[in-house]
Amino acid sequence: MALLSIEHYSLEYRLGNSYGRVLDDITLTLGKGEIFGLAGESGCGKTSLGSAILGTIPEGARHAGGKIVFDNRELTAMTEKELCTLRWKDMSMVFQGAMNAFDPTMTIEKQIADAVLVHEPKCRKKEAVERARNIMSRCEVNPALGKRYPHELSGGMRQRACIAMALVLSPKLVIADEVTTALDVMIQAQVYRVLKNLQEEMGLTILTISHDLALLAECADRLGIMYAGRLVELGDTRKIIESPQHPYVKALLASNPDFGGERIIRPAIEGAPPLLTERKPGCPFKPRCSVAQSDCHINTPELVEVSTNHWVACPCCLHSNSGKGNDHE
Amino acid sequence: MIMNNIISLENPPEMLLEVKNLKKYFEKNHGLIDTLLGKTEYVKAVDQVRFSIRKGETLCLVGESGCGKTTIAKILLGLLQATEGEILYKGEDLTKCVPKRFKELRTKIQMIFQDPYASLDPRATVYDSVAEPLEVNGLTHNKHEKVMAALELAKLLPVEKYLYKYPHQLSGGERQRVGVATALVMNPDFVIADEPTSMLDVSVQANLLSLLQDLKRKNNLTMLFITHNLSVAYVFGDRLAIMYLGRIVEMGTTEIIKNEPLHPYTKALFSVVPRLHPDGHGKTILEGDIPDASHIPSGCPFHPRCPEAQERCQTIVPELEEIGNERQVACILVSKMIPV
Amino acid sequence: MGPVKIKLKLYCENGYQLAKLLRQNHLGSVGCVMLVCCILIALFCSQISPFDPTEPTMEFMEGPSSLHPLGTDQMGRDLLSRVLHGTKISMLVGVASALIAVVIGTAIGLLSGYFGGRLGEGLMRFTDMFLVLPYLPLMIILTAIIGQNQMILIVVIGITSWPSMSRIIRSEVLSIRQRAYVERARAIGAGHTHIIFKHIMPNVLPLISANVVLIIPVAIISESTLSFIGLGDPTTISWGSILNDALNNNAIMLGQWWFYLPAGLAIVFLSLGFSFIGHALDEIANPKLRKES
Repeated sequence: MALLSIEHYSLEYRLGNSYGRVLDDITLTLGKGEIFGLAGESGCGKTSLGSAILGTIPEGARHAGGKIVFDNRELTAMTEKELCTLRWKDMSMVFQGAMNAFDPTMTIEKQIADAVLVHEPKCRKKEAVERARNIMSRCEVNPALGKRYPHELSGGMRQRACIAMALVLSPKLVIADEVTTALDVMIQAQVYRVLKNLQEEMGLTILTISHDLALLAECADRLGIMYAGRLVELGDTRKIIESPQHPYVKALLASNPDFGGERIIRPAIEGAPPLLTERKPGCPFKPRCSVAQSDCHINTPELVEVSTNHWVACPCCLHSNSGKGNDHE
Repeated sequence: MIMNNIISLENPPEMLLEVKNLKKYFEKNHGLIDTLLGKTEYVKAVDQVRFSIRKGETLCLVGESGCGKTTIAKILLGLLQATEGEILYKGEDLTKCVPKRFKELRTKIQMIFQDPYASLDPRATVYDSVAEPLEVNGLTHNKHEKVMAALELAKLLPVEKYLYKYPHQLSGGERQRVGVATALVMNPDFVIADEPTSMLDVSVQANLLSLLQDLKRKNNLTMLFITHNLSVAYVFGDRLAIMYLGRIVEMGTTEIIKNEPLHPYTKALFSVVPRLHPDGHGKTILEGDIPDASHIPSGCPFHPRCPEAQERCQTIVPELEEIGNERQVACILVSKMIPV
Repeated sequence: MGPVKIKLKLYCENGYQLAKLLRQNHLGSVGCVMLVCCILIALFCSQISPFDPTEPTMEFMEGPSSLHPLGTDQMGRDLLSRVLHGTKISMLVGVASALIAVVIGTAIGLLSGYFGGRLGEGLMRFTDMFLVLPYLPLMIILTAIIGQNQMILIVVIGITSWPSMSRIIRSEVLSIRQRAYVERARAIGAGHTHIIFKHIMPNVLPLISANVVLIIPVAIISESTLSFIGLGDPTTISWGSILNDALNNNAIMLGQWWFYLPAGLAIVFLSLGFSFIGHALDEIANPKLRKES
């Protein structure tokens, strides 16, 4: 049963007098208890998708079609007030700069306890602090550090404290947006170990957003790769990594330095994704695509299932692969 | 004088850079009373670092934040003074030569900085930024041609399009290539690149690495590439040096080290690097954080977190030792000199 | 095109961009309009004044009439003409003294911020001394000792208004000094002069311009204050001196609003004009302040 269902959702940002499509016709579902990896480079819209799910789209942005359904409730039709009751209780977010988002004048446990008290005003202060310490220890942060101030903790500990704050109310869905991008690789491993353990313990569904494909390859069950606001490939992680279909994804994986792979540097495709102001109908990747056909700039490709749990938005690669057995089951 | 000559005879001419016993200790300010009492604490940012780079080679200096790699880069460029140690560039000791000679030598050592958004003056055009090293060092003969040539090498084509642009009009990747052009305009022998790709997207990073690799080959550049990204170090470096708390713990040819890491820290580090294809190995996740550089543990700095630590690791300070096969490891468990 | 011509072209383009930004900024446009009005009045005051402002007549202390829209002062001189002529002095003194303040403040702020250490600290303590001194009594004493003359006025206001400038410049320079491009310049062997003039100054310039425009109203009001209390140059007409005349002839007590109100409003008008522009420049220099468009 799908916990989160995004159906043909589009989001636009206001640019001066016109609007630019940040997200275009996104369709994906998250099942309960799964870890979904959303990948892509800067500007592809992955962070905006996280904000859209949480309903924290910035001023000047607007829903431009489609809907987001969470736990049978339509988020896109809710008011800000209704969304507030949902946020943190049913779904929460940990983000990249989160370790700097702590209030420097309050102790860690007080801030986490506050999160509890805001949503459960009837809860007693002592109990809220107890719950805060509980979740901190489950996130591998010594509860004794709860009485410290944010600047007294190291970067890795602060990030785990952020995770604690996001999980204190036992939400169903957690969105982790580039949570370890600024951290060292050892701390990254610690943070992901915490996330994975808690995911199993609490039955969490995690949407993890990152530009690091290797990281997602290791921790995500399913993968979705975005380009210029569209989902270009979606499905089982191992299938996508081992046999990518979309030309962009193929090139991205090839140019990604892989510690476990060959010692070779392959340059990426020249050029850059279209800017927000330049988004047009048709396949956004066409200018840089080596297998583009003449009609690629007219028809915007939809996601098509090429094998079980493997979807690609590229008619050209379908044609080139039809007739060949292209996936290992 | 005689000693200097003997040393330069011992160094084969192909050794471009040799760093010996480099130390950089920062004094920790403790207030007036402690200073009067003589209690100064030191932050040992770099301690007993020793490495050498041959001409045309790329050494990747790898480590987590705070391990001292950027400090080493700054010392090599003259931005910081070493507390102790020798830096032999083509046989000449940079720490002991006169300022004028140092300035001359420095023109052949250039740096590519990490942050493309901060390392270019927002009020200077691309032309100004790339021409600056020439102007500062009085090498303005044929300035225009040299700038154009540098921009061409950095693949900012067509050159005319970029010459008079301001940084805010360029993308991150283009800015970083301006940084590369600035480093190349002086025709250096030795380039230090400090995390040049950590702030770039994957595809932009791939293109920059590809560019640097081409330049390396064409111009026979020698590079010191500093990064915390092990995947990048793996594909780019001929040799790796892994640092922990100001010391080099393992050093050698990239392939050899990657296939068989010997130092427990290297083993742990390599095991947690994410890979695209799982290879069934377990992850050794170290607990806790890297200790503060002002409270470096006794004996081996890594022993509190080391999964293989023994009792004597608390007292013996391991030296970087040649293990054979051009490898050096600083660990008594691997040492050939200290009995097990 | 040679590099020099291209540089000129770039400067023109930059100027054009700046003008565009100013125009888009509401406060900035209003301020510009106000300032342009005052400049035009100052330039053409002789042409547009109905009377000679220094010529006494027999109709003294008269109220507004069709002949004298703002009435006359105690010597029968037309007040409208006096107010129009006052624009010239107020603007001149305001801008000139602000420039002196800026030059001193920038120099001290720059040296203190760039070199730091004992020199920096010493310069800051020197600045603190001037900050702590009450500027109005200081101005009064200096003017009283040295004399009442337009030049003296400009110098006195200039040397008492610089401390705030130097603090602002110093903190900005401290921040710029740490930036990567300055470190890069040092790494390629640049000396102090090169770094200060090529990297620090251009990046501090937006801040300086915004602040100089904000210091001008302070200078104008200082001039008005000094003239008001009778320490201004008695041979020149300024708004402060008009207010001084009003005070001395009991215009306020007698409710003769046409005497003091126009001059007072003129001071406010000109100061506001500069403040608006200064605020707009500050917003442009510091994009964080810019409201979302």
